Order: sequence, then C-alpha cells, then structure tokens
Amino acid sequence: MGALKQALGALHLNEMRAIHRPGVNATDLGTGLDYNIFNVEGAVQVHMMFGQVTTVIGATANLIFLNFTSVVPAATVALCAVTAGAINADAVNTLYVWDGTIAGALTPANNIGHSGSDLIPWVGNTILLSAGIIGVDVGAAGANTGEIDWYILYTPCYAGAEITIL
Amino acid sequence: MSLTQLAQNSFQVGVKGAVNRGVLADMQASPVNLFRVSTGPVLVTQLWGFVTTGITNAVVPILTFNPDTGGAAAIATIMLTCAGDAAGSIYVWGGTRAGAAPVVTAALGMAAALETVMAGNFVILVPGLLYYTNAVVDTTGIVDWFINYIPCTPGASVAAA
Repeated sequence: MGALKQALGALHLNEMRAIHRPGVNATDLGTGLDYNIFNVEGAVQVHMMFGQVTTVIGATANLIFLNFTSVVPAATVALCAVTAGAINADAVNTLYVWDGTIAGALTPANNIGHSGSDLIPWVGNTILLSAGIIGVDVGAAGANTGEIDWYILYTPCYAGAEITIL
Repeated sequence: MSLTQLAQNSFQVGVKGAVNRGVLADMQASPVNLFRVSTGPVLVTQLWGFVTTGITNAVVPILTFNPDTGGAAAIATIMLTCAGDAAGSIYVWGGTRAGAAPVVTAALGMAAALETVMAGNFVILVPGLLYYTNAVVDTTGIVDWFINYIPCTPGASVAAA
C-alpha cells in the first residue's frame, strides 16, 4: 500500500486535496487540554481551514485558537488569534472560520462562511507549512462537551508531502 | 490502510460545477429552489445566473440559504428589479451578505466599469437548500443558475434542487 500511496501522491501532486477530521469529544474538548488535529508530513500550501460544530458545545467557556508545532525548529507558534468570545453553547453548524492570518481570530459564523453581517474572507493567498502538527488550543477553562469537525484544503509541494488526521 | 481509508483521509479535489436549468414556471412562483448541498460542507467559488429568456416584470429575488440544521438566512441583499433584463444578462453574486445583491451584467461577468468579483476566495456552505424568494412574479423570464464549488469531504456535493 505504501508504494501505491506514493504513486497516487506523485500522480496527483499538483492537485488540491481536502481532508476532514471528525471531532471526538473523548479525546478533544472532553479532555480540557489542547489537542492535535492534523499532521503535516512535508511542505504544503494551505488554501483554507475551518471548524464545524457537529455536537452542540457545552457550558465551559473555552477560548480557542489554532497553533502549529514545526519539526524544525521544535517550536509552537500561533496560527491565529484567540476567538473574541468563548465557544460555550455554540449550536450545531456553527463554523469557526479562519481568515488565513496570524492576527485574525477564528470567527464563529452560522451555517455559512458569513458572520452576522458579512463574509469572512480568506485573505491569505496560500500559507506555506513545513512538517509539523496543527493543533487546537482550548485555553484554561477546562473540559467541555461538544464536538468540532475540522477541515483543511491544501496542495502538496512535492510527492509524498501530505496532511493526515490526528 | 485500505483504499477507502486512503481516499477518505486525503482526497484530491478540484473545482466542480452544477447547473439548474431554468423553466418558465420558476419565476411565476416563490420561492425558487436552486441547489441542494449534500453530505458535507463545500466551498463555493462562484454563483451566478444567466438569463436565457428576457424578463418582463419587476422581480426582486433574494438569494437565501436554509441549512438542514439551523435557520434560513438571506445570503445577499435584495436584487434590483430585473424587469427588462434581456437574454444574455448575467447575475453575479459577490459572495457577501451585506454587499451589493447579485449584479446584472451583459454577456460577460463584468459590469460596464469593472469585473464583478467574488469577495474572498471561498464561501462555506453546510448541507442545506439554496433558493431565492421572489416578491414579484414574472410571466416571461427564464434564468439558468450555475454554481462552482470545492467539496470538503468525500461525497460532499451540490446538485440542482
């Protein structure tokens, strides 16, 4: 299977890929700890990333943001700013839309990629990531109920580079 | 890892398209269903209408999205009257809720002065129904609607409703 995977990767090298990580409460928000969602295996260009609430979020007032821990150097940096408001009680189909900038926060939006008033645009063209791990920082509020599915759209920079779910 | 798992874990995607071919009965009632999003979220890269038969009455559509879970909401402001729009007119959605309604242009996706752009690169839509309401019905016009999108999970798709 490894050879087939490599061949498929080479065949579709320059095509965008999407990956969907279903939320699992027991290992995500339910722990109260930061958790990892995607493993970046080699250099990729990220085009879009967002979360979708699939089970209503509980009462804990978590303030969340995305971070990235690179392999070289072994360091963790924020990919975006902390959400302006806590995610507690967010309903199913609330989207956490990242605008593709470090300064931009994950913005909650209902059902579509719009906030209450307007579109949340992806202002980055493509974001380059080297090998590492994308994680969700849930702050210090503690464990919560609810589940968030995460999606990422990317293009590998060379054969063998890809993103897998954690 | 099975082939299925391999495909589901990281699958190749491209921009896909769907079309809703208009019929005369469409604008003689309200709402007019356009597209259904199924299975999972999609990233909309473009949404537009193409007049195939000229419109007579002062129809004022409002593009609206009704998710399978959650309430319906307009995704654009109300359009200016379409009365007199000839075959070949194109209604281009700018991708915003608060911005201008779909802008009518002639034959090209360009207004007289400038290209009509999709603000932002993508608009996320979860599974649900995309339609427009129409406070004033029309007796003559027919509009085809087109959508381009990127599926975010295997099986996520958009089809004419």
